[in-house]
Amino acid sequence: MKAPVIDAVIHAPGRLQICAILADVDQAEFATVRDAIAVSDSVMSKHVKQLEDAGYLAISKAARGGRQRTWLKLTADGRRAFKAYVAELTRLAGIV
Amino acid sequence: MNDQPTPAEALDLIRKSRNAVRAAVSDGKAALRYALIYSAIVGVMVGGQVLDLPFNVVCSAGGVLGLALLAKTWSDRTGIWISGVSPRRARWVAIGLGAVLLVLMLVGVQFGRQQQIWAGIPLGLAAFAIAMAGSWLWIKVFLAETREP
Repeated sequence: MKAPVIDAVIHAPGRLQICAILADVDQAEFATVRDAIAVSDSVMSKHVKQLEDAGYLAISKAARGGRQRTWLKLTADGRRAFKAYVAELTRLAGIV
Repeated sequence: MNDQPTPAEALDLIRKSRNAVRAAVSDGKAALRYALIYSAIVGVMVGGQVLDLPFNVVCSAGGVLGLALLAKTWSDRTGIWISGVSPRRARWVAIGLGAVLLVLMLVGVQFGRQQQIWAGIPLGLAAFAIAMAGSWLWIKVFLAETREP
């Protein structure tokens, strides 16, 4: 039987939720994702930083409606990693 | 939940997170309003191709501007940006719809060259109906595609 290969960067609940949201869209606003996963700004920022450091997430800022908005998107590496992560989870869930 | 969810817990979390995006896309009244405005703009773009210069160009350019504004308004409201070609299968609905509308625009140009201005109305109405159906289909395919992790 193949040994489990779980991506530790993605596997924390907060980060996997962020990846799950971003996987279905081109970009999502920081505040929208934060509200969807119900965490504080600081916790969200930590998760975003870890994903960004791993090269899985890219950040852009845009001024809209007179205020600065932060947009998040999965990089190509991030999409590949998340797809592989979900495939591994599905395989493991099938075994258990 | 701890920091190391089981595979089943992690898959469940992914499912729940995806529902946030699915809810924004399939929000009944907003989705209908978006489809109606999108289809009306497309109808004008297609129907306007039978007109002489510069009115046909005004319809095309104004339509592109209108579609960009529509997408930006939706994105500002929901905090999500979806180009329409992101999810794998929904992408083909968007590309197919674009191709059909492009053909209708070319047909409109042809009618315009023959000075058959009347064709603009049925062509515009056909484009409106096709865009409405395409929008509905895109949402269905998107929701089906994002249902399971």
